[in-house]
Amino acid sequence: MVVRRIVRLSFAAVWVILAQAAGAYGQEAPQEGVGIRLLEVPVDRAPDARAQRYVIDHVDPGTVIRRRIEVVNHDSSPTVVRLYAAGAVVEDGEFQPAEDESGGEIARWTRLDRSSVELPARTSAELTATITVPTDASAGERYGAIWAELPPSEGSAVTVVNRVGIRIYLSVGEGGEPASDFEVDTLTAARGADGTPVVKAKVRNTGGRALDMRGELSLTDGPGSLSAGPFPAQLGTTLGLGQEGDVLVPLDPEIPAGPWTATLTLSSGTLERTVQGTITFPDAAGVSAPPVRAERVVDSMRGLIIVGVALLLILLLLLLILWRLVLYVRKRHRDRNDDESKARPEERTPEPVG
Amino acid sequence: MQLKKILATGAALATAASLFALAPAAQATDADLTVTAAGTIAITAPTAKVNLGSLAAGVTAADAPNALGTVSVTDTRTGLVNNNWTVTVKSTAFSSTASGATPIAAASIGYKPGTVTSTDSLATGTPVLALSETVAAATVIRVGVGTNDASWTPKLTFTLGANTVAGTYTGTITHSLS
Repeated sequence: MVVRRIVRLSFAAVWVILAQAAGAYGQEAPQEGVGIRLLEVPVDRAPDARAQRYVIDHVDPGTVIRRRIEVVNHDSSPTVVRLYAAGAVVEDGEFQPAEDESGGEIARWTRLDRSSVELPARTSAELTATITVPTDASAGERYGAIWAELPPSEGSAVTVVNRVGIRIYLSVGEGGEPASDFEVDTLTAARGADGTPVVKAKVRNTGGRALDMRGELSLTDGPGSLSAGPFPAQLGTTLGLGQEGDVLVPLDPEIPAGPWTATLTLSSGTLERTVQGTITFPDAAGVSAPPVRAERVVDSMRGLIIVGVALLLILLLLLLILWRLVLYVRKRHRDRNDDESKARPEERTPEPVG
Repeated sequence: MQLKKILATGAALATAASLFALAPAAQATDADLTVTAAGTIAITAPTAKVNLGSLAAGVTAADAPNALGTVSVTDTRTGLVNNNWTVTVKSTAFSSTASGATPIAAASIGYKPGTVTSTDSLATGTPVLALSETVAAATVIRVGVGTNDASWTPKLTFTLGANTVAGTYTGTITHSLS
């Protein structure tokens, strides 16, 4: 069963190659240290920016997945890099690498085809990570990372170890992937300790997969019909299943206090939500205004397109039916006329006198 | 006969319309695609021989006199919607070979990234008040689009009980960039 699954995945899966020829060094900007890169992503996840950086997948128990990864030595001297997989947790709005005593499921399930690699100056090497999900694995999302660890600092005092890695978000379960979703509950206008206006949004992960949030805030309908922004949101970390977090958007100190219509668009991967609320910044520094309920703005272009096309098709359908009806009526009318004209010559034919 | 044809056409079109309206977002075909998202995130090698200096017993969250070596991150990933990265940090307990010395727990050690110098000022550093041996906490986070780099010279803080035995304590700090 497992073999069949492996074969099926190997031959049926089509990989998107985020390619650079292995071993070639072609960076424009000067980089230092050791870098890492995910080399491939499944075709149907290619539009997801997260899947291009992290190993993200949803698989049945008993599945084997593979990803190729590249490790690059940007320095002008050779180095030896240690390679291994370890676990992680998503807590407090953060993706936290964790090494627990039991090794964690991701660490146990992941095999790398090499445990270390010698890299001469300015060269790269490829490795393949194989994640084998046991047939009795429970449903749910696991987290971990594949690490490239640099040699520790030398010396007898405090040792510093630096490592760079590719995160893993692996969802296991029979059937389709759990849908991702989140809600933005409230928007709070506040001023930081230095008086900088900041908007805090309370975000709740209501879906079945962890989210890496990003977004931006725009202000409109302000005093004197002013608009401001968009300002980038600062969360940038991870919300686990059922977890809540604050997204902070610092704004320009020059903007007036309000009232403003704040429009916040947040996204994770290909999932996007927009909310709005009316906010006014407090006057004093270090103070928050009362939270304002964030109203969802339905901005799905795809929904509009589907509705538009459906209406168009229905219109065409009606026109077609109408046209056929007209043809039908005309044909019947013609048939009736033909019958009548066929009948008249018979009437005119005089009966033979016999 | 004609009426049947009309109804048949109507039914076919209606089915097509409803299928299209309910169809999920188009699945990728089996055609090979090449996405040219190049670039890596990279972290520099740690500085050798970090000697933090001396602290007296009984201090609370005191900065070690000397900083850890500078940490630099560069992100040359292109073709992505965002170039977010996070550096998390964890620590082992610091132990000493002096007789009678008990290890300084990781939770008594704090990490201050200090000022983060970055090309586009979208990288922010947050102190971690209490480190952990098993779970790494986020300290420097970058959220934004486009290639970038950031560097900082962190300091460690120590909370030492009044009975801490004098000696040289050593441990390991791990920075994880992902």
